[in-house]
Amino acid sequence: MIEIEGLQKSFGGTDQPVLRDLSLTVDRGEIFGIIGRSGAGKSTLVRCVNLLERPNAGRVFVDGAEITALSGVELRSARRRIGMIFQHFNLLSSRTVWGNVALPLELAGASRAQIAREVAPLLDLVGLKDKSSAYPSQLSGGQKQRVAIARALASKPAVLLCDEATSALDPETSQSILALLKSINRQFALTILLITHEMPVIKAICDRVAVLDHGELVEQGPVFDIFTAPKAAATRSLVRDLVDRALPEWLIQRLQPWTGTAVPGTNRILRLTFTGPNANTPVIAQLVRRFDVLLNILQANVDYIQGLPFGIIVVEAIGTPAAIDSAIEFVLSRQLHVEVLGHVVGDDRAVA
Amino acid sequence: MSSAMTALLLDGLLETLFMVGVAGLLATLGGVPIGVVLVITGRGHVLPHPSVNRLLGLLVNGFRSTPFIILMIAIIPFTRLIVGTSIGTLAAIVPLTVAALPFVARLAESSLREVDHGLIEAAQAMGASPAQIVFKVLLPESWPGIVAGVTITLVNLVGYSAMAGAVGGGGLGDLGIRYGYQRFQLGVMIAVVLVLIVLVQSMQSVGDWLAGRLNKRLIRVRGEQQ
Repeated sequence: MIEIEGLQKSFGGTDQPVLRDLSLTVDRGEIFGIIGRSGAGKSTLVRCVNLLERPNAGRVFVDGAEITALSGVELRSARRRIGMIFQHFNLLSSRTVWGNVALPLELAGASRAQIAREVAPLLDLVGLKDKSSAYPSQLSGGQKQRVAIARALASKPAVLLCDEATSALDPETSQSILALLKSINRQFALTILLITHEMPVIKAICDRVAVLDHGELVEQGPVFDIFTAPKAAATRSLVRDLVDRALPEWLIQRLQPWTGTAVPGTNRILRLTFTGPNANTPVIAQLVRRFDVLLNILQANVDYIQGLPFGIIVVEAIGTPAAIDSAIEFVLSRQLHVEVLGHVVGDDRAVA
Repeated sequence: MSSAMTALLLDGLLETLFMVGVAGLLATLGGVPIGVVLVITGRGHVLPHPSVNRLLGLLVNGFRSTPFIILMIAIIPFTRLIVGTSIGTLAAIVPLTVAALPFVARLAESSLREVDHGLIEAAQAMGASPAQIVFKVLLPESWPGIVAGVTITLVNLVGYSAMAGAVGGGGLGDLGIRYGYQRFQLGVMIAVVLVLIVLVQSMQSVGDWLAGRLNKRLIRVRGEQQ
């Protein structure tokens, strides 16, 4: 649906390109996320899709048409098939909710009757039927973004571009906007390309994700894979914020590096990662029962990404070195990931 | 005050209103489009055109920096060409318009420039043409500011019209100078000043009210939040 080939963009001077040789394909009907820290070039990338920013090199196709080959009237008519919503909503303060949603239809030269017919169902869709004569200054941020979504859908676009659409909203409102986007995506099979710096946004609605770092795509794939097995350093640091919580302070202070051999009087700290088909098996209970090992849970987090469970548990394993070794082997045999973070001197609290 | 004096004051007021009204209207009709051109031909706007922008900017500044009294005299040949004479209320409208037009243009330019660039981008993303952006986004969004600017211009024009009066333009300023200054009739001078104060005050109030009505950004203060 959206194909980007060898996109290159730099501003002003030529020394520091914002985007370098970037290629990307977004399939029909999917929600594709692009994530990156600020300054990674995300905004420039999404703005190159409808040519709000013209790339220095490379081609962009939307629904089979080469956007980068268009200008003037042709470009304007192609843009009507590309909806866009923004971080700061960009509603006209001089127009009511109704008037804002009617704008793209007016621009396309629709008749009054046609506009009247089409605006009402759109307001209904975004749940703002009763606000139709309100002005944007009377609305909350979430309501403004709903108006912007209705406005973007008015011209029946083939794709919807979201430029940090939830970044100005509080987490709760943000989730409701994301839910609306997802339902629109499912209902109309509308392709959505969204950019964000927030991993929770990607986790909530995206099918696939690409990670942008310093103008380059460093990694892309299904959201679950990127979350559970991030490869690039930029991805790992983004994922760490969300799923891989930092260890508690007291543990970091006491943790000694693991050398491969057990030191008497110390307990190993293990990090178990649950993903894939065996993520639902009661491994912790099995470990305690089958092996003479006590597990002191220090940190646990189970998340669902695209409906699949993904858990991380940090435990202090108390038992003989041999028992712990075989416990680790057992976990590995279940195709679950386990990592020895180090070991700590066992204290009364842990033993008790 | 004698009835003759009252009649003089009334005539003066009507002449002033006529000069200021017509000049203000013409200046608005000419100045707002120039303001629009100054904005949209600017760098990074919808119709960037640096040479047009610079030339128009220079022209506007040239007229704006000429003191009104000098401008009025300097364009006498032009005034004669337009209205056939350089004396009288009708003739005063020409220099008043020429002086007010670039002023309106600059004030309109500054309110048009205040329109959030995000709105222009949103319109572009919807496939709006430059003309559509001007008429559907820029102008509707800046009407409150433009109305406030026109109000300031009208108040300025009242002052200018008194200067025009000094060289035979009629109006309240003329009245004040002839009777109040040259004939030492203090009563007339005070009456003229009072009428001018009331006039300027009412113009400002009407302008503020209208700008407030047009401004939908502050509606929350009046309207209720459901």
